[in-house]
Amino acid sequence: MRIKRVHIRAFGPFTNKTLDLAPGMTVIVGDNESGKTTWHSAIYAALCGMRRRAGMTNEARDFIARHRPWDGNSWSVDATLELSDGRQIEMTQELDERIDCRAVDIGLGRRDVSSEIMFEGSPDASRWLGLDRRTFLATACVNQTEVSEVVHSASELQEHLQRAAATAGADETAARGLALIEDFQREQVGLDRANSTKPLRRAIVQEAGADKSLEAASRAHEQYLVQLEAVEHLDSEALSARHKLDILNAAAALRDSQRATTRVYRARSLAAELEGEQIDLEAMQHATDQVSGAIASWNAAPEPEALTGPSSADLARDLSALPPAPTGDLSPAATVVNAETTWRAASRAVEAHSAAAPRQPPPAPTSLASTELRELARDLSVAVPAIDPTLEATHEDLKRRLSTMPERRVNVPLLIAAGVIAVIAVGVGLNTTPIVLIAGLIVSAGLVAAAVRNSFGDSRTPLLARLQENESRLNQARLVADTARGTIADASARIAAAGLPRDPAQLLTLAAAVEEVSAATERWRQWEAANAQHVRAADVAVSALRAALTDRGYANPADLESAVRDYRDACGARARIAEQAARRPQLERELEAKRNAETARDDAMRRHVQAMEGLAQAARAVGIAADDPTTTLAALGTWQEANRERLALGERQARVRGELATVLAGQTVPDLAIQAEEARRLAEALSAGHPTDEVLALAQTPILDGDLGTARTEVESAHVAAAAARGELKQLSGASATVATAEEVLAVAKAELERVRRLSATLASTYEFLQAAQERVHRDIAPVLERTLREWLPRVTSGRYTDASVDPELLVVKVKDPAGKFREADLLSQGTLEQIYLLLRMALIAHLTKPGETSPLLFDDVTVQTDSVRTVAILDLFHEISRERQVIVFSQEEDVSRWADKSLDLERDTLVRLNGEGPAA
Amino acid sequence: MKVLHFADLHLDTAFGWAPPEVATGQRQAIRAALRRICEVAREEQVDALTCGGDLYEQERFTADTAEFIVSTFAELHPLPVLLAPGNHDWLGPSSIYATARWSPNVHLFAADQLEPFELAPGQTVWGAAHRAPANTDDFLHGFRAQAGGLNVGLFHASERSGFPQQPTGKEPHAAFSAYEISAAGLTHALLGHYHAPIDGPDYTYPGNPEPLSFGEAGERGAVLFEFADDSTYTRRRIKVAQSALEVIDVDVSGSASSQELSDRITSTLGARKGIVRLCLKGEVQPTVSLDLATLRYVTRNLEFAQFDTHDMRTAYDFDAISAEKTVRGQFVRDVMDASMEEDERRRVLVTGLRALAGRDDLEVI
Repeated sequence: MRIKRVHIRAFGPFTNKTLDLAPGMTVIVGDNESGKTTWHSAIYAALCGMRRRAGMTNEARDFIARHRPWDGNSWSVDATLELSDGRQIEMTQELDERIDCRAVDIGLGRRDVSSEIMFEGSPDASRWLGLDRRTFLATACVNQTEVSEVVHSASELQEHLQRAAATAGADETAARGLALIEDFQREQVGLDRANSTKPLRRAIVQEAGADKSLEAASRAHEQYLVQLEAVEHLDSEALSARHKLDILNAAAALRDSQRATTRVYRARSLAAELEGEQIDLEAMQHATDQVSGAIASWNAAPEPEALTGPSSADLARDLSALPPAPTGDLSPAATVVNAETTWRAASRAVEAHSAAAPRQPPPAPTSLASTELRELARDLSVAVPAIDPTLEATHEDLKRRLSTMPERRVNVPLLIAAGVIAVIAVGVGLNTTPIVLIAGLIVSAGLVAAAVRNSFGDSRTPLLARLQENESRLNQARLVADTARGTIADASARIAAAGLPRDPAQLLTLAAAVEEVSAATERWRQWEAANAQHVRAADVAVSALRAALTDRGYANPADLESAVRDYRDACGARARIAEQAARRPQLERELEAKRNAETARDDAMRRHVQAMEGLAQAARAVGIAADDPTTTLAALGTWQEANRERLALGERQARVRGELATVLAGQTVPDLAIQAEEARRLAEALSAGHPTDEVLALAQTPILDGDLGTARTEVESAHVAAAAARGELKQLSGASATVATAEEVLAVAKAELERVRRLSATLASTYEFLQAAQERVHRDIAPVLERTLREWLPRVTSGRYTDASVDPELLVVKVKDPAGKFREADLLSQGTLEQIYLLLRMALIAHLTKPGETSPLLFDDVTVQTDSVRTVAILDLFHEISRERQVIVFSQEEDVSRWADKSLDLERDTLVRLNGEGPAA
Repeated sequence: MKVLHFADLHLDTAFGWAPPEVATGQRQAIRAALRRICEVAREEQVDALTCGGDLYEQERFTADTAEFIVSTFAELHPLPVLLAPGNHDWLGPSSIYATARWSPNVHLFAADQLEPFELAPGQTVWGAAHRAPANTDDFLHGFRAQAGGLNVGLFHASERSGFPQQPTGKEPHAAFSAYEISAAGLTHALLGHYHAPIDGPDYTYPGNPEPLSFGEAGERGAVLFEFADDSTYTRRRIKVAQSALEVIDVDVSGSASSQELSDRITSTLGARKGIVRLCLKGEVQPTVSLDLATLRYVTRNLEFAQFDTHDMRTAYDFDAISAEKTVRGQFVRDVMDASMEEDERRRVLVTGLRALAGRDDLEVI
């Protein structure tokens, strides 16, 4: 793109002014207030226009304030452009309302092409460059401040590059943007750590708290519902209990009503009975009792009969004549009688045993026992067996034959010889030929067979066996004979020692004699033992009899026989006296009975007299003249008969009066009637609404009062339980937070947490995209910058710097110095740094411009801070650049003017001098 | 027979979109709506007040609310109040229905099958209850009104053809088809469950009388019926709402600053009070730095304001930016090419461009 002409209709102080711009380099010089800034802004405004939308930025307001026409004309500026594709464009920018703004293609009959470049509501020619009015200003327009910043600030060059890479210089660097996101994330989101106070953690904590609160509220509501149900149940039970009590009360009232009615009827009936004559029952009863008592007494006291037999005095006399009862046995005591019987039997037994005594036994013929004698006789009779002579002869013969037979053994020398031959055969055979080995082994084997052969098949073996058997039998026969001889010798020795004959027959005879003496001796010993027993029994019987007599008063009697007799006689005498004395009890009883009968007779006589007097008194009391008891008694009986009915009437009247008093209980019959009526009404009221049959049935129940008590207790318990449950329910219903409120608090907390999480996700995502974009763009732009520097740097530094590099990560620029060493551009001289910066600006605008287009460059007083040498160097650079793109330089410096006069090529460059009224070529 | 019918009051419901203090106010407004319904019933001298369920919410109701309901209906005595429990206020052992001491004028339909209540000779209301929060069968299935004269149904159920018109998340309960009403011998069905009002030929959903959420369309409230002896009827909707949840669009197009945008909101709201959802619409300049604190300040005179910025865009020329060979251009290209939700893409783009512009208002609302 090339700007051919700018025409100001009205812009700042100017009206209707035109500025023609050269295709190469246009240098516009003028002093302060000459209008350089106005033209610079007019070119920009004619090219890019202003946004046409509601709202306005501060920059826009500032622009308007500075460049609105001073004379109030319509604010407007035009420009004629030539695009790289050859199209001739006329831009018209009406800046007041920004309505009449357009771009027309002059070559196409002024066709409106504004739509190609509309940006924020108005045509912006920088859109053909791939820029917009902000980025064009940031990239294509270079002012003195920017250059100065780069020169005087070590990091500004890199910062500028990064900013240009990020936003074409219009805004911040990507790094700054990323840092802002990080800061924002840190402050407005934060980490989910326990000690964090940032929004994310706060929101999480709040949500958890709200969640717990909701859980608690829901739980409380559940408890409330459960309690509500329980209260309802208990109320229902209380109601049921109340209903039951009401029915029982109705039944009780009905029963009471029935009783009251009955009472009234009864009282009225009793009162009716008492109407008429009233009998003095007490007086009548007293007279009746007196008459009855007198008659009864008379009947109970008849005249007593006369007594018979001896009198009590006679009987007392007989009793005093009786002897006293004797002391001692009246009959022989059983102990004496039994001892006597035993004593007599024992004496008879001793006598009988003495009469049957045996003859005394003679002495024994020898001291040896009969069994020993019979054993000796048997031993002496033992026969000694003879030894079979053939056994001894055979034995001797076998011994002799054996002694003549040789013994056979293994031939040891032959074995040794066989071993030697075998060793030699092996030794030689292994070293020479197998035949020697085999032959040697065969010979050795033959020798071994010969040596061993003699040890087999010994002929002495059968003889030796027979000899052993014969010798065994011979030895057994010898042992039997020797034993018999020993027995006989032992028996002979014992017989000799006892001095007895060595004849078995005599010994047997002697044994029989010894056995006879032994039997007589045994019989005598048994008699003596029995005799001693009888004597001891007789002695015991004597002692017992003596003791029995002593016990009955006969101590140490010399003669037992007479003592026993005396004792028996004494017993008989005492028995006769005792018989006399035994009559005393009978006489005593008869005496007492007689005395009692005499007393009873006297008492009966007295009662008879008294009854007679009572009868007379009773008769007098009832007005009967008493002549004698019999007449009086009859008269009284007649009287009793006559008064029995009145007495019964009096008694009935008394009973009725008593019952009436009980029924009335201190009240009157009308009182009872009123009460009965009241009870009836109450029963009727209480029964209302209840089944009549049930109430009637319950009223008849004998345990109604008990049921009533139970029912009242149940009602009270049910009401207490229901009241307690209701109190609990009231507590539960006063829960601090309702479920709905808790849900709402949770919803707010969740919304806040969701907002923070969404913000976090957005920031993270943005950071990621931005970082990736930065890496990508830096990677793309770094080679472009490098290429530009390599191409231009040697030219503009007269070969001093020949190479350059740009770090794709941070866009750090390094140049190769004459020593061949790369140095960071920040460290170079200000002039070189200015040149590098301006080259990079050119490279950036080239890079950021749409392919196929070139953007003009506008420089505004960029050399005002530089010395003459650097100014020339910069202008030379611009001139070089203007070969590729249009360059427009604004300056107030004379050095620039001079350079222009000298260096510009008027074919393609131009110098414009401003004088405050407009351009002057 | 003259009947005032309402349903879906949802006493003690939770307002998840509102902060607790605002929600508490809304719950009070629901109570006031019930009082207003009772006033209308008295004023119109109806023969009965009917409720088609969801009078309250079993999971949330308070003892205070139970007392309020009982006393409110008791004040109508002797005017009959007929209640048909719904799925939110299902009749369980711990429900208000089962545990409250109702005044004699209140009749509760407690069976899960339609049962009659004779308002007057020849005028019968057939009602039923939900006995569980879900899985309630079609009340009309196999049902035939036995009484002669006028027969009206009262229950909480989902008419199948109306279900698609209901908001997302609505569950069908005791679903039935409209033709079942006449087949059952009912002149009309007074219903509850659908919050969006429906005036069908044989049935009526009154809708929630008091607003429960933003954007509720249709004329909701109580419905006054007058049934003639020949089973014809007139139907008139009566507004009883005590509060309003307004949705207001604010055109913020072209705003270049938060102040300019705030002015648009202030201008649109005027002297309006109450609870409002503000839908900010249009394209604002990238320079606008908008945050929730600013919006809350601007709407401080409202009882509560909710903000919807889904239709608000920042006027970045993404096509132009994406043509740049800059990091910014690369960033926009990458984000535009990435697979993500459009709203998230918008947030990422604006956040990134703000960061590159050196701004620290990086949260996009």
